[in-house]
Amino acid sequence: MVDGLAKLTKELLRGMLKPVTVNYPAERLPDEFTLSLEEIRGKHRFDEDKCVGCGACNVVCSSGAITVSDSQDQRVLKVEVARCIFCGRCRDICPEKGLELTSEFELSQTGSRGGDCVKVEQKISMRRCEGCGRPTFPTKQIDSVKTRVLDKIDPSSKETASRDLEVYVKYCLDCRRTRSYAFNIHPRKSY
Amino acid sequence: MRLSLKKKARVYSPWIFHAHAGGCNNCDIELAACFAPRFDLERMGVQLRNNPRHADIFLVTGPAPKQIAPILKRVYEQVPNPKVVVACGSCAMTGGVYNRDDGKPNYALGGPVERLIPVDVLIPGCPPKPESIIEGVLLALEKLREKNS
Repeated sequence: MVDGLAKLTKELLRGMLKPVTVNYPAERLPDEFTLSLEEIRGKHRFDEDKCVGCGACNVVCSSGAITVSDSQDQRVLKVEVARCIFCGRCRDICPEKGLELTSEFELSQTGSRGGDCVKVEQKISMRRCEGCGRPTFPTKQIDSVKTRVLDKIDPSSKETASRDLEVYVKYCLDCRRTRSYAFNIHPRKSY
Repeated sequence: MRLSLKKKARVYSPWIFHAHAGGCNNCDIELAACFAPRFDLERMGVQLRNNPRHADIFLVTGPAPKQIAPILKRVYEQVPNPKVVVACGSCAMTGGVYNRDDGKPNYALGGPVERLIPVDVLIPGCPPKPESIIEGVLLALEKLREKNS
């Protein structure tokens, strides 16, 4: 309590000496009254190299601001800043640390529709299924999953797994299921 | 650009009417912070009024649920022309967290505000920081100047 009183007295004295008002557009709020620039959660930024397009941010988004749309050869992750509540869950969940919230929070603009508001987009190329030609998963995601699986798997079955993965990643989920015996990748072969 | 004295007065001291259309009240708290000594929006000549008939800027917060929608329209009509409408916060702009994830319409949502009344300035954020609101109000002042000339 004494600590708080000291703070209050200090603030009172300072208020007497000079005005507390911040001349905002010309100068920023002093650091002691606001979050530091790293802590402020503002507009999103995708890291072109790190983002693999897994869509975890879309799943975890609180307000449905992040959408994933797959076309024939690319996946588009789109953040509608107008709907975003800047909770930062997408940044926290991102397995590749490919999404960050910048300190750019002054996003006001003229416009008559919420849809006009700024959007952040990330485009990732998709891999096609070699069986049926439909898009399966982003190329980068397949690569990252492959390395992660081979890192963590039990060393005894590493060789089998890597051989299976080579076949596995070329096909979509449906083709894998229907042709798993032909490819000799059915899990039942292990027991 | 030459403005008559009346128009000049209107542009240099616009008054804000704050309409709270549902929502969680957080934008309203940030707006209160805007008018508090630290940021003090009144140094721009802006004053917060409780009467729509005195206002030039109509600042709406919240997603405008169906219960509020007709009242919001009526209050909008009471603001004298020329007027600028500011949609403050994610809810007022798009419905924000009150939208459903599966894309179906929320049964209680009459808004967003753009569906009810024409909007001029958008302030994203949930809630927008007081700095964002000040920036938005400054944009609204420019818009008001355009509408007056």
